[in-house]
Amino acid sequence: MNTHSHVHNLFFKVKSTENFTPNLRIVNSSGFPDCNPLLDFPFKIKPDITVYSVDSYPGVVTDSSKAEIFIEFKWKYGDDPFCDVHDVEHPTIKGGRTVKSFLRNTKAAKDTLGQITAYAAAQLGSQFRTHIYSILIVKDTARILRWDRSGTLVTEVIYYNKADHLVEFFRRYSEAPPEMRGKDMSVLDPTLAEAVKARQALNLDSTVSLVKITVPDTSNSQLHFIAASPRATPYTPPGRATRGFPAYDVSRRVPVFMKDSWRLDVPDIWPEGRVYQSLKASSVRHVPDCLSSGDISSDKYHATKTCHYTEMPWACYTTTHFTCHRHYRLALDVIGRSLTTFQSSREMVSVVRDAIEGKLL
Amino acid sequence: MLLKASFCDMAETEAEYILLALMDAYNAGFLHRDFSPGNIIIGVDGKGLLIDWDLCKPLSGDSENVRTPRRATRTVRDNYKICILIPIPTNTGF
Repeated sequence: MNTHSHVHNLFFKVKSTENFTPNLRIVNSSGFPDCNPLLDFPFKIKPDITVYSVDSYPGVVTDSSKAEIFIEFKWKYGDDPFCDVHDVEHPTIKGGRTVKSFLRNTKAAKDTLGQITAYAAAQLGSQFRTHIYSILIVKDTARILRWDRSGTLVTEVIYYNKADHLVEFFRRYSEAPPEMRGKDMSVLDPTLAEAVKARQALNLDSTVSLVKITVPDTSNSQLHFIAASPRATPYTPPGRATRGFPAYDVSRRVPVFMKDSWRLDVPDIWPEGRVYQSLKASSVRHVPDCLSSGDISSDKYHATKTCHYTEMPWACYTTTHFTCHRHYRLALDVIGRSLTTFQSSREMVSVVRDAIEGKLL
Repeated sequence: MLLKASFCDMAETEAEYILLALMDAYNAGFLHRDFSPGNIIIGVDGKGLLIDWDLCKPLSGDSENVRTPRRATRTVRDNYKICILIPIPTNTGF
């Protein structure tokens, strides 16, 4: 049986779960490269199956800016990035200490891991999501993966012809509210009137899609900013995932700079808005004014979860440190030009001098 | 400050002054920890502004931790090894 037939057969097996998932649309996307126009990847991704929410089905086969879940098939066990749990020698501790791992250390395994990571990066980068799920199917086994800005949780294999965990996952996902699926509900569509004003202020034409982003205000209220939809860049999901936007301040009706990121949630690193506040209180020059800042929503969904599972007795050990992150936004009063757009060598030198003065004071 | 007064000479001994800048910043109570051309912007008045203070650490904290170097950013071409195994329950449902 060739690969196309394999995909076809497995697609219909997955498609049959639609009886239990009325809110999902399952599409065979194996022959269709991602048509997401907001993807700044040096290559095209082409997941085997794409799952959409019925209320946001884009009408095209593969679109990572709208996809809920990507499913990838592999036909050889050797392509599986994961294997049974086994002991490995800890590379950084002398004395022969062993730890548990389930990562397969072969080129084929690493290629698959890179492939499904690219899918996750495309989704998380071009959408506003706190987390996403994906499925990896290797022959008669499946794994469910949950990706957030701290890391990835991977299940043991599910023998989907014998156990109903995979069907049950899809049934629950279909019923789950958007936040539980990972959708960031603090990002909305702007009204028509808001969009017109934002396009004028930001000099954006009507082909650019817009989003309306909420930023907490210091007085416990919320401010709204309209910006162009983000572009996805090829970076792995864990990290601060900083996205900067020239944005239109709806209440003040002026352009500002807005930053969406996942701040490090550790005691000795302050939230950036607090740092700006302290720098201003110390009269530090050459630092912009922070208009508003704060954590987004509650930590139920807008804080990473993977980092909390690393010490569980069933968790395999990795050498990578899992850092907790908290979703955070701030708005600055200035949209600056990039340093690389300087108009003369004199301007570049003076700009660097200004910035270093800001750092020193 | 000595460093500010000496900026006119910066081109001659850039490395020395950058080192001085890092030391002075440390003494001032904040460490930016992400100082790069990408974090300097040109404001409307043509002057430079230093942004992205989200890795900044106040130096009153754990000084050993402050010295911890930042990790490099990974691209999806790199091997991504951050995974944990969740056992699937056998009889309690998913």
